[in-house]
Amino acid sequence: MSHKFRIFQINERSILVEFDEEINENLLNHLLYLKNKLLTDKHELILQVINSYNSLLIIYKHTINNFYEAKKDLLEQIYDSKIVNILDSPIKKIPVCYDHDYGWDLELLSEDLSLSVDEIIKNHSEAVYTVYFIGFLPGFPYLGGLDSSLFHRRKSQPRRQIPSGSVGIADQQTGIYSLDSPGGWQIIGRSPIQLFDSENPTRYCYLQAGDKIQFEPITKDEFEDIQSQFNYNKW
Amino acid sequence: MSINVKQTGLYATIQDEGRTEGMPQGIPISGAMDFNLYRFANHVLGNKENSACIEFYQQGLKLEFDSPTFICIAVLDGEILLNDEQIESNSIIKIKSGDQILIKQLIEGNWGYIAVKDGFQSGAFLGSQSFYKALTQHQLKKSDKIIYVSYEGVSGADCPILNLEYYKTSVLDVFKGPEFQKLSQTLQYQLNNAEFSLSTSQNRMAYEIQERLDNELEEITTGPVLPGTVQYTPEGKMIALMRDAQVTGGYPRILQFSEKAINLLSQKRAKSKFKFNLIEINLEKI
Repeated sequence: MSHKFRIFQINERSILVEFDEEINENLLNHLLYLKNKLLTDKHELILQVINSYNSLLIIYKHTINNFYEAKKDLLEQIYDSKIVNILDSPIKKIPVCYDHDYGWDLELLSEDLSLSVDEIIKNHSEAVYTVYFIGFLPGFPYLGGLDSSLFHRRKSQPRRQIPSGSVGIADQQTGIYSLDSPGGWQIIGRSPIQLFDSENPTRYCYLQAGDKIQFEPITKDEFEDIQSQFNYNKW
Repeated sequence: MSINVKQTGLYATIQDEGRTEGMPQGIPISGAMDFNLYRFANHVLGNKENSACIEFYQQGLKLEFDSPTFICIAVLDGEILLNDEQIESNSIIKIKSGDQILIKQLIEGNWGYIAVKDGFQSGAFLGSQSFYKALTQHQLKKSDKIIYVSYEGVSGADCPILNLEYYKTSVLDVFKGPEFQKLSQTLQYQLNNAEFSLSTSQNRMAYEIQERLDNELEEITTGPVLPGTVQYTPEGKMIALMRDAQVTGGYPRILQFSEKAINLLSQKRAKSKFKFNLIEINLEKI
């Protein structure tokens, strides 16, 4: 790996490896490769590894008594990592209804971005997105790959309640609220599928870092159909 | 065998040591706010270290037991009633069928723990019974029943004494956060020398610090955070993330509380004053 990085001890049991680079898929590919490698090769020492756009947080099972030792270990793992493309998973289709009843901020974005609502829907649903990581809420995917015509800052005042399934835009990112939650993203539609289901212990999280997804526009009727099927047999 | 929740108090949940997996799926670690006190409560009864306890906030929780057992109610200082008579906290209490416990009020600290012999039983998610909205129940509600195995043996060991000296400090150990170095010398100096106080905004997700420091930092690319991370908002507010913290955040992470300091901070009430004691743990190299 040729990226510049730093290895930083956060607390008694955690180390942050942070790369000095812009958000991009090559870096994500490296991070996920390294994450899997650490979890496989060092599973007796490591509890959890969390990736974000440009860093890995490594939580150890026990207090780190010798930081230099741990750092040396990590350096070996980093320099030893190969470039393997692990981001070639099949594209998951996520149905989204861009009706005004669900896309609360479509009009606002249309005005601010000088695009028609149809153009917003087209630009949003044509792109293929990459799940960089899950954060903010259980099951909430941070998606990269948003068309630059749709970049828009967050709301200055977050809304108190955004319904689960809502699809939003914040700066260069798009994402899906996996649960009902307060939030400040600009809402352009809603998906009837459930991204997080605590009652499904084997697959409680529908998406994971590295997945590829694409939004599929659906009508309000289709939304309701899928939602009722979902409630019936959990997709 | 179960307890029946007669009054919920301000905020009561089931907590254990929290989750050791799930962060990559956005699931918080959770677990007892004050691990030291939670562990003491279990230790008194000879329970396993990770037995589930009831955690409560300050006052008003009332419980009725339907079968015999032993319990320990661990608090820093508080008025606790067993069938309307004041009892001692941090000790072994024998419970008969029909006994009622009322947490009248805590005199010191925010959080207390009720441990029962062999732990409370409740639904677990990813190996932990810790309540977290969306995974389990959110908090205890009136008339909830929480299961435990009745116990009629002897209490066993002598009761250890809670070391209250642990809590008698207003100096909290912190490490530099990943963005600490980006702060000006003046801000770094202020953090290390000034006195701060807690605002009234306190919950299991975060405690806010009252004083504001003029922020010179931009937001960061969303990155991982942990319980004990101190975030620094664009308005200059400092937010100490607690056990139910989200797993990622976009505000600069300027400080990180030590494990012990999270316990101490959790028990500090609104308006309490404290100082940061910056400790070198991390060495960085680019």
